[in-house]
This record gives sequence, structure tokens and C-alpha cells, in this order.
Amino acid sequence: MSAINVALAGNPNTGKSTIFNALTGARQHIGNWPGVTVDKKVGQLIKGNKQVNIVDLPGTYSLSAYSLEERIVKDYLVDEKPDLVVNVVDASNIERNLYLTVQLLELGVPTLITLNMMDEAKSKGYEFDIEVLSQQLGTPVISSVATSKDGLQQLINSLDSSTVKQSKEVGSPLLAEHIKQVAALRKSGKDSELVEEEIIESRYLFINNVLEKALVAKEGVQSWNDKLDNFVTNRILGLPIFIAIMYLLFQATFAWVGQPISDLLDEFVSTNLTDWASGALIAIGAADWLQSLVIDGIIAGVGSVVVFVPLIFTLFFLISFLDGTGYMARVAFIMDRAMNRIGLSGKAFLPMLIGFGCTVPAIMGARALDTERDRRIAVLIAPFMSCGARLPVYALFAALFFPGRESVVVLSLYLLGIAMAILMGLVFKSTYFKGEAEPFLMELPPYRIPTMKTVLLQTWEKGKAFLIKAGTIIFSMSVLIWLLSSYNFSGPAEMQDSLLAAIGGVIAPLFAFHGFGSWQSGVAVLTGILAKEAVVSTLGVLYGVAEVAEEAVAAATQMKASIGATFTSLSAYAFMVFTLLYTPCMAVLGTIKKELGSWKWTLFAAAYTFALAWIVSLLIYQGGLLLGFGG
Amino acid sequence: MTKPLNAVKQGRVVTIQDIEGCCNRKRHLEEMGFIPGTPLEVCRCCCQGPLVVAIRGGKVMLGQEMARHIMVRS
Repeated sequence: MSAINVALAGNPNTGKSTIFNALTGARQHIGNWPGVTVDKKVGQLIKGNKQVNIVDLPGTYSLSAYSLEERIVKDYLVDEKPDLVVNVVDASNIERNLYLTVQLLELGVPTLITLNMMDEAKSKGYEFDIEVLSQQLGTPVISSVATSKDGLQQLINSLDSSTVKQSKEVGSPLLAEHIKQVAALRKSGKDSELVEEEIIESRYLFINNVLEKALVAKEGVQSWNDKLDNFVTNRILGLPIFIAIMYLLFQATFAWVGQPISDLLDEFVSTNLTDWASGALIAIGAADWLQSLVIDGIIAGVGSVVVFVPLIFTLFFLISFLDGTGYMARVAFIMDRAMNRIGLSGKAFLPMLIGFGCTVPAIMGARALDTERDRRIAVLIAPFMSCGARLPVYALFAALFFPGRESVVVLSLYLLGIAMAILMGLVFKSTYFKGEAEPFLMELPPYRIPTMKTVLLQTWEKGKAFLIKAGTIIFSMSVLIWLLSSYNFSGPAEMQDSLLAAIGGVIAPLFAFHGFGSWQSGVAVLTGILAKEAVVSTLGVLYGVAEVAEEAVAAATQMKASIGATFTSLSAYAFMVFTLLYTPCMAVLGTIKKELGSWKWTLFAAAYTFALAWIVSLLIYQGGLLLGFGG
Repeated sequence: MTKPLNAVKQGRVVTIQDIEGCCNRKRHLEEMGFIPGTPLEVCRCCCQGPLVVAIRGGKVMLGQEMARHIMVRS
């Protein structure tokens, strides 16, 4: 046997991904499970001359096939028959974690149990007799602390054919008895509902019998976990703490880390790169139109988006970190009551939090909700959670019109998005989607400090899509915008006579009372439906070209100057609000179609968000004028 | 004395008597370890909001609706 196939199975929050990353390192890739959009992570571990193929199964609490993830895990185990299943168990929460283990053992798949989080278990006062645990469960058990690589080598050593053999041979009288009982219950011919119940009870009975012999639980110290939770989930303090954390997140992104790096990159793109490219193009004697395409089209367009990469990666890094600490589950708790008002449970807030990264996975995440009604509401309001692609728009406008107050301005947009989501949820609940909220039931994981490797990998997974988009959609959009802005039907033209100006001119009157009724913003709004970053790249091409006509200098700086002439700080804010709320991008609309399976709802999602954005930004602009913020 | 879990005060330890309702909700609770005879502690609760309970060595959050269907005795 030169290669063995190993599957990692375990509950969520057990450090399974950390172990997977530690085992496979960079030798992994992410695909989809057949027919569904749940991530399938596959990787390799090379051990001498042997290869170990590792699949990271979705984290599940059981194998009962109620949820999509559970069905994926069960189907994989039954159909693909991996040589060995490594069951990652959180030792500090062993009783409930063993529930999945028992189901694995019932299935009869060769299982190696790795007791993870042993440090936490110890501080909780748990002492294990691993030998006895292995005897009782009838399968090999090793211990590990994935975050500090303890026991990882032992795990690597165990991934071989002798463990597979051992796991098949050991067996235990206690387990045999349990399996016999389950089989008898299944054959008893009683009501299936009742049978399932008795099987669940018998599993927990088995677990209790095993732990009675293998675990000594002493009184642990009262952990800082509980004390922290008293604050974080406090009825009065909970929400302000959440807002404060969000504020710190944006402060770090815009003031401390992301923005300064972005500024450096911006400087490089707008001076060094532009100069160099223009010099090179002149040197090789490229035609004028080609020079213009590269400098005014591609560098101005793609460059204006690429400079935001450090900003976006910083934000994604911080969100991934926060996710790893377990704080997000507390947010679900804090938001449960507010979510109940709009007919959803706190659980529905989690996909919406994902929406801060990208709306596409947020809409897919809504699948975890139990009823069709909940899923529909969540999908319809998720686009209001401001995604990473909208960030460049805020970053550009906030830096221009609200210097020194970027974090507050951007935070206000994010909060407005949440408020709009809740408001629209309320509207849906009291009109079309009447009914009760889905019951809320979720594990509360302890706080943990995530490993750097896991956080970085997640940041990369989330941010990668942004880079790919910059190279594909944004690139081709920039070329197209340049083309349309440099020509009309009779040939090369000045920009204000171009085809693009004509197209933008049709849209512009829509925003006559919004303070941004120029044809340029009309075009930006249109391209933003293809991808939200395109709002910035379009403005980059349009305002870049006008100013850079004579000589290729500091495109981006000039772009700022020329935008400043068209917008006031009030209309800039109205424009940001419009960008926040209006029709989601094509990728999102495609996902909505896929998830809701209906054109009617997809078109509705596209139309009502546009209408809402139009009204809200109008109110903000006109209200602002009345209050005297017109300057 | 039996009462629903949402009527239990913070800090109390109670024992599950019965789970009302049926089907998925009941099954889901049972799989998470909410089985008659199991002790649990109410760690956090606030008026009409969700609860945190400690059960089987771990913590679980549940909404009012769920808690209403779990009958417990002290």
C-alpha cells in the first residue's frame, strides 16, 4: 500500500482545520462536494516514500443526515470508504463530542481518535486514562494539542496501515453490546420516532459508561472564559461591546495598518508604475491608442482597485481572527433578541456576518437555517451587509471627503447596512413572510486564540477571489470602459462626446436630486452591478483620463482632485449609501437564483434593493441639504 | 415541581424531565444531549432573551422558544 486515504471528522470548533493545515501545509486545495457548494478540502502528507491523502470533512455534531453537511459526511464514509477516519475530539467537551464518535463506531469505519485541546481539558480538571478509553471504545486513541504541535508527530506516525489494522482488530465488549442493542431497537418494529429517541439515549448511556472508567473529573478553576462572557454577553453591555470591537476593526483597517500600506501602493502605482509603463511604451514606439489603453484604461482602472488589496486583506485577516476566537457565537447570542423581532433567530446573524467578507458565501450560509421562510428572508436581507468589494468605494470617498474621520464614516455605513437589513426583515416579516422564528440552538464554544497559520489561510481563501476579480472582470471592464469612453460611432472622440457619456447620460437623470447626477456616476452605478469594485475602477478610468490627457502623471492623485470637483462631502456620502444598498453584483444575483431557485425572487431582490437605495440616499442628500450640510 | 426551562433563574441547577414537541426540534435537542434525567445549569438568562446552559460538560445557547419546550425539575 503506497498511499492511504484518511478522512478527518469531528464537531465544529474542535481544531480540526488546525490539524488539517498542520498535516498538509501548503499541499492542499479547495473544491466543492459533488452537486453542492460546500467546501471540500483535500491535501497530501508525504511520509518518507508514502503518500497520505487527507480529506477534511465538514464539521458536524452527528451523522443523522438532517443537514447538508451531515449528509455529505455520511455519504462520504459509506460510499468512498476511506482507509482510516481520524476523529478529532475536543477533550474539554468530551461527552458531547463522543456522540459523533459513537456513530462512527456504529458504522464500523476504521477510526483513530485524537483527543485534542488536552490543555483546556486539564485546566478544566479533566484527567484521562487514554489506555482505558481506547479499550472501552475499542479503537486506538492518541492525545494532541493541535495549537502547539504536541502529539502532532505521534498523529503523523499513526497514519499508516498498522493503525488501520489495529482499529479493525481491537474491538470492545462494551461497544459490541451497544451495537447489538441498537440493532435490536431498529428491528423492534416500534414507531420510528420512538426508536430514534431510544437509540440517542443508548448512545449517551454508552458514553457515560465509557467516561466513568476513563475520565476523572476534578473541580477545575473557574476559567476566565466565564468571567469574560459575563461582560461580552451582558444584556446592556453586549451591544456596545460589539460596536466597539467593530470600530477597532475598522480603525485598524483604515488608520493603523491597511490604509498606510494601501497609500504606499497607491503612490507606487500612480507614479513609478505609470511613468515606467509610459516610458517603456514610448521606447518601443507603441501607437498612441495603445499607450492610452494601457495607461488610462488598464493602469488607471485595475490599479485603482489593486491599491485596495492591503486594505481588504487586513479586514479579512481581522475577521478571520475574530471568527477563530469564538466571539462570533457570542454575537449570535447578543443578536438573538433583535433577530427574533424580524422573525429570525440569532443563528441567522452568522451568515450575515460572513457578508462583511463577501455576499456570495453569506447567501450560501443561509442554507444552515432550517426553514424555507427563514432562508428566503436571510437571503433577501444579506446583501445589505457591506461586502469587501464595496470597501474601495468607501475608502476612496472617505479619504477624499472625510479625511481623519474615515473609520467613523465607514463604520456608519456598515451600521446603516445592518439597520437596513433589520428594517427590511421587519417589513418582510409583517407582510409576506408571517410566522414564528426558527428555534435557536447552538453550541457556545470557549474562547480560544486561533493559530496564525489557520487565520492566514482563511484570509487568503477569502481575499483570493478579490485578486482574481481584479485580474479578470475588473481588467476587462476597464478596457471596455476605456474603449467606450474614447470612441463613438464615428470614431475616436473626446470623452464628453463618447458612447459612454451617452449611456451615462441616460442614467444620470435618475440621480438628479441625489447630488451625483453626472454621467460618470451613472456609468459607475451601472458597472457596479457587474462587480462592486468596478465602481472605483470606472471612476478611475473616467476621472483619470480627463486629467491625465497631456502627460501621464500621478493618475490617482489627479483622480482625487477631479472627483472632488464633482462631488461635495454630502453627495459623496449619499453616493456611498447608494453603493452600499443598491442591486447586488451579478455573482450574488446568480447565487440567489441558485439558492432560491426562482427568477421571480431573484428579480425582486435586484429591484427592491435598487429602489431602497434610491430612496434612502435621496433622503440623506435632501435631508442633509435642509440641515445645511450642502457645502 | 416541573416548570419550563425559560422560567428557571440564573445559576440554578435543574434536571430535564421531558422534552415537549416532536420531530426535528426534539431530535436536535436530544442529539445535543438534552435527554430526560440529564442535569443542567442555567448560566445566563435575561428576560425574554436567549439562555446559555451548561450541559454534559459543554455550553449550549438556546432561544426562548426552545427553552419553553424543555420541562425541568429542581
